[in-house]
Amino acid sequence: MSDPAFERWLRRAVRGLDAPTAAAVRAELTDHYAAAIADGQQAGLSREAAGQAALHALGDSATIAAGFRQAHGARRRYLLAAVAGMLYPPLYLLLMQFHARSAGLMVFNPALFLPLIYIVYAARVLLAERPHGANLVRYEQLIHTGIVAMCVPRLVGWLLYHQPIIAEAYTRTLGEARSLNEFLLNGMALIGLLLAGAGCVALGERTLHLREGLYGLLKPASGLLMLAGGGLLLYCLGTFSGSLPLRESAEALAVLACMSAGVLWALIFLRARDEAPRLA
Amino acid sequence: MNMKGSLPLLILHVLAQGANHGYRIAGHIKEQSSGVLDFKEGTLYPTLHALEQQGLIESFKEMENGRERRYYRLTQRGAAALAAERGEWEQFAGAVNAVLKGAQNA
Repeated sequence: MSDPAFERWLRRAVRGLDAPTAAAVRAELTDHYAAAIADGQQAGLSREAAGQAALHALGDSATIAAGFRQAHGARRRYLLAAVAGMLYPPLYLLLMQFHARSAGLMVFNPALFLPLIYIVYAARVLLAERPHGANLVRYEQLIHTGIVAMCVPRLVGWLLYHQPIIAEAYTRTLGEARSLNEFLLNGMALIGLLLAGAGCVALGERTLHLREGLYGLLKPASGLLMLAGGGLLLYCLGTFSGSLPLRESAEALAVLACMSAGVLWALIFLRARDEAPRLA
Repeated sequence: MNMKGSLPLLILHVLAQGANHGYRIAGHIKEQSSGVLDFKEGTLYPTLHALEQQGLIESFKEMENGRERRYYRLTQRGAAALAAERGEWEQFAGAVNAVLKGAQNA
């Protein structure tokens, strides 16, 4: 069915659903729409009038989207996101313990960023569901791209050189890379860091000005997110300039802000979970 | 007429008469109530999905006129839930009627 009005309606109706669920819902609603048009035409309506009547009969796409998201595990998603937020501080402290050991960086760096990826996703879905929320997909994509671009060279660099890349090492700067491969890997990691940092600042700035308050916690959570993003950007600056004190201060700022934001978002998710109606 | 809250009961009732797909379930509810129970048809689907998540109904796909359609049918748990819900509804409706009749006689 290539009706533009219906396509727009459908896009809004499946907003916030995961890809397989969205595909199944799209197929089911498209089938409904087609059947309604066929009935309308049999009753003597034109194709256009039957399409308009069918769309009107389906109702408000935002209400339906909220119903689908509720039906497909909102409570579980919020609980997982709350656990991820709470896990962030102990995970980072665990990482610090292993910082001097080679296995620690390999194992715990991805573990450190996985909760962040999920927290950002769950926050985006939560804000899309709220009456005064917003569509934050672009910010989510920016942060996720940054995190992936940051982690992949870190792992590849470790496999190639058996040591952390420059962005993680305290003794060298980007200009002191010993090979082109190392330079490229470091460059990619820094670009990732820049994207993630810019994404956090932009997301924080956007959510800071939303009418939605999220139990009065959104503004402080937004402020902390901006601080974390700012810390990541300063860390990049420290890496480019070779200033160790700047990098250390920026890292401390980013980590403290991320930990606090993680805990605040965990509280938000727990409140949202309590609000979500039980299915059973 | 606002039918908020009663849609799951109506869906279970329609499916007790046999497996069906969303479009026809919506049509049955509207026809059997002579159009009094009018609702936005799109809202039927989140309710169907929620009932499926609760294990009260189950879905399956079937080919119809060369197209794959998602059908729903009642599970045993759904049949038990329907009996319980119907009993509660009849008790509630009976109580409201009794009050209204009392008001008329007074």
